[in-house]
Amino acid sequence: MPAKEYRLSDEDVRDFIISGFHIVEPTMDTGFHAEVAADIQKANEGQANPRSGIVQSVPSLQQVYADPAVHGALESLLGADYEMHPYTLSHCNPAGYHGIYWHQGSTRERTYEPTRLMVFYFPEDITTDMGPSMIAPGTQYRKTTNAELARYQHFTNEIAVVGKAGAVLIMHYDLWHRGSANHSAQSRLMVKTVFQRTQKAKIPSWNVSKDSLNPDFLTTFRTRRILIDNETDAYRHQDIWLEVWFWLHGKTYRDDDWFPKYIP
Amino acid sequence: MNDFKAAIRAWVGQSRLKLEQQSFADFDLQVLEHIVETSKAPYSGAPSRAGVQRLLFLYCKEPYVHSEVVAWTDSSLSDPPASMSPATYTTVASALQHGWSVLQTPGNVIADTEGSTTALTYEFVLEKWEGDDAS
Repeated sequence: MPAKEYRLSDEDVRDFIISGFHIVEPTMDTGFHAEVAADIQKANEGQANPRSGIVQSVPSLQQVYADPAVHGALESLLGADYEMHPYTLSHCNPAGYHGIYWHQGSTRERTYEPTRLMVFYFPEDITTDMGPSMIAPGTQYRKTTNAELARYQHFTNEIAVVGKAGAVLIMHYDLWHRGSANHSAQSRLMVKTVFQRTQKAKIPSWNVSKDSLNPDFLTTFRTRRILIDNETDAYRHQDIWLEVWFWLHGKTYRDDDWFPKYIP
Repeated sequence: MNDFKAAIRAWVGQSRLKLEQQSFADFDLQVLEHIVETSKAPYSGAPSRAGVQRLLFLYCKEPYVHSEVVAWTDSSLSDPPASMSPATYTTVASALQHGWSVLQTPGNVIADTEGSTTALTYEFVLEKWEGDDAS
């Protein structure tokens, strides 16, 4: 079990609910990630996108997901008894890779609540010219299809996930994302896994404060806005965020949990 | 100038047909006025244009031309698109000021359902002809 200090705070969980992503820096040193990268390349035997099973083929990857910082974040969002889905992939986008279109993870059922998370691990440094993963924060609650998403090239709030080796990107399963074109001379390596709940939230599983359901804290959801949202979207998303926040407490959100203090 | 002549010829041809069908009306004179004022043939379609048509899809927060652009697709960019690209226009109105013409507006469509949000549906389609005098 991770030390309690690695679990997320109220603010961390709130920000994840709103933006749909959270980035963790594992506690291992850079040398560890370089070894993992080499192990992955060896296991893949030169294939860029081999079939599922990379975590099973490269046991050292288990250490990444067992790292207290990664485990603490996953536990905070999925509950203590979460599990890894057996579908695990590595993507090695070579120099000159053309990128792919915006999409969501395929699924037959989408939920606002974080019942499943997509986790990207980057064992090597990623720069903007290496074809980084792109994400569009706050899009995880929009109901659409991948065919619709492919029509967009760019969003004003898109983010390129770049950084030092070892970064772990934890995303709401439905967050809009894509792999971009690799203009560098290096390949870009990433491991994709899915983690999921085994049961509905009953109590908060993060470092919850005694004020987490206080109207003052709930108001902080009402002051946030996604850059691409219009006013109607913003109000709807604020309701959804509060519904998810209460759901993670094992409770059901009602308007009067927030309104009495602020509506005359 | 060639565009202007082609537009006038297209207008004359269409007008003759309408005269034969007795459907020529004041609207057709308005079309002619528009051609004279803009040196364009907005109703005659692509055949009168030379060069390559470039399309720009702008997705706005709301369905009007001064609304903020939140996503875009440019037919001249690579497909799939490159990693990052700054927005060229912040509104449809600013694109119009730089020589783009509107081909399609979002229309009066109910874009989403109560209680949820959807894809970005307020889509304006604009065109520009590479080498166009207006650009």
